[in-house]
Amino acid sequence: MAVLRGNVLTSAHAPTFLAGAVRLSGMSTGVTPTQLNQSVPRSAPAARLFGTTAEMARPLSWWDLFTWWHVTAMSWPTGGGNRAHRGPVFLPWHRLYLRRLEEAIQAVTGDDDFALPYWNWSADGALPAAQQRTAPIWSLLGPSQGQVTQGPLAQFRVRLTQSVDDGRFYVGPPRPIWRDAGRGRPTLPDPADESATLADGSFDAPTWDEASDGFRNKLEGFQDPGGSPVPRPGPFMHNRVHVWTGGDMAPGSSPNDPIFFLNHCNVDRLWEAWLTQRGRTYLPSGQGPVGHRANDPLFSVVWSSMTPTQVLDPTEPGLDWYRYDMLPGAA
Amino acid sequence: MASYEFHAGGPEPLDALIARFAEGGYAPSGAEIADDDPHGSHGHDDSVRRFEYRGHAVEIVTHYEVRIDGAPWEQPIHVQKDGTVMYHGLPQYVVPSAVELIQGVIDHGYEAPAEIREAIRAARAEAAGDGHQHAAAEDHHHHEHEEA
Repeated sequence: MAVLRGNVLTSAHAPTFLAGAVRLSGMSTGVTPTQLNQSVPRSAPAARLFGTTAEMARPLSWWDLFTWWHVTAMSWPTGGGNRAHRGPVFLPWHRLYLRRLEEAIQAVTGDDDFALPYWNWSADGALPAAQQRTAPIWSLLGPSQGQVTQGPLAQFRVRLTQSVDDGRFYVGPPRPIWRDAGRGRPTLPDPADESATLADGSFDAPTWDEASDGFRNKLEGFQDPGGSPVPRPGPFMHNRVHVWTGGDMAPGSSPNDPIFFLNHCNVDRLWEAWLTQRGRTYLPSGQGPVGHRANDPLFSVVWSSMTPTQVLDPTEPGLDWYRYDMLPGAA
Repeated sequence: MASYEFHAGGPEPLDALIARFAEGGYAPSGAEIADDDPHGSHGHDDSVRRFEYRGHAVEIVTHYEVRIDGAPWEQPIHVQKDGTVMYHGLPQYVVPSAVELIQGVIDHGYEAPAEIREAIRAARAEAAGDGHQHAAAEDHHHHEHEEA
């Protein structure tokens, strides 16, 4: 039966999400960084883990494995963008990725009704800049600035970091996550950005990348959705949430912070609103960059792959994954 | 461990999934379509913007030479057609200038919590075989490490 995803501020599943995250961050997969490096080709050096002998031999947690999956998808060679971003596959790839985490939390908490909550960040974006850093979500998830050593995530620990200094992917001892909200950009996306994004009736278009024109690129955040009457410096929408939150949310290892999944659950909710209004279509269906076409396999680890076409409707009987409590409308 | 539903095979415990992952040599699923596009590679990567304007073929090549605290910072900075810049280590940063990009590198690298900088420093030191204590910002130019 499809589960019901709701706003993290009101969802009864929010405590389960946080408890599940802590549980997965402390639960060993039995798989070591050295073993994972066996599968990384020379053509994907950014996916290769580096660490001391002791850390390379210490098995990763399930949460770390999700972070490894994300970085590896970003680093794997492909015909355009990467296997998870900078192109149309951004939306279906993250849909599959979030669903697997939702299933993993169901497994470790024993709660088959668990549904990922979403962070409606455009509502926070309507607040004055200083208040965005103290919005109610930070009472739930720990502080928006500094290391998270208080609250429900006080015991949450991660080991992987993509270094922004040299771009390499490092493994170290377990550590708390950290945030630096408001430093990279002073404000979150606002409701005008959201409405302008949803108002674009074209899903995507050539060149199918960070320069293309359409809903996907506006939602991913490389293109200004046009909600402001004057040109503004990017990034926008999803990208801006990463940059605004900062800390562990900034590099490719951003799934380290559980708020990554709340951000992307909201991104998925906006895509679901667009699909509901415009019809369940995906492009490119044929010609397009390898890894981004409708019937290309989505890059997956541990779980079997699926295609963008197969994840277009999370409510269809073959999947019966989830629904949202509320979908925003277009401008 | 609790079991759960997943699309391809019905209820399956996490430990069964990880066992199958190990049996497959930790290989990703759906990776087989990869080609040899160099996206995401390391090293200097001069940005070249090519376009035509009123029948004229234009090529703009942009080189960056960055030093932080006197040491070279040698990661590729990509310039988009509109002049904004990107760097794969900060994948969501698409910002108006390299100044702002490098400020992000300092914010999230040089000014990261001590635990992160120490883990990176230790990995680099062991790989270099010297074991000496260096601040992460001081030995960031050691780029050709072998896996520890």
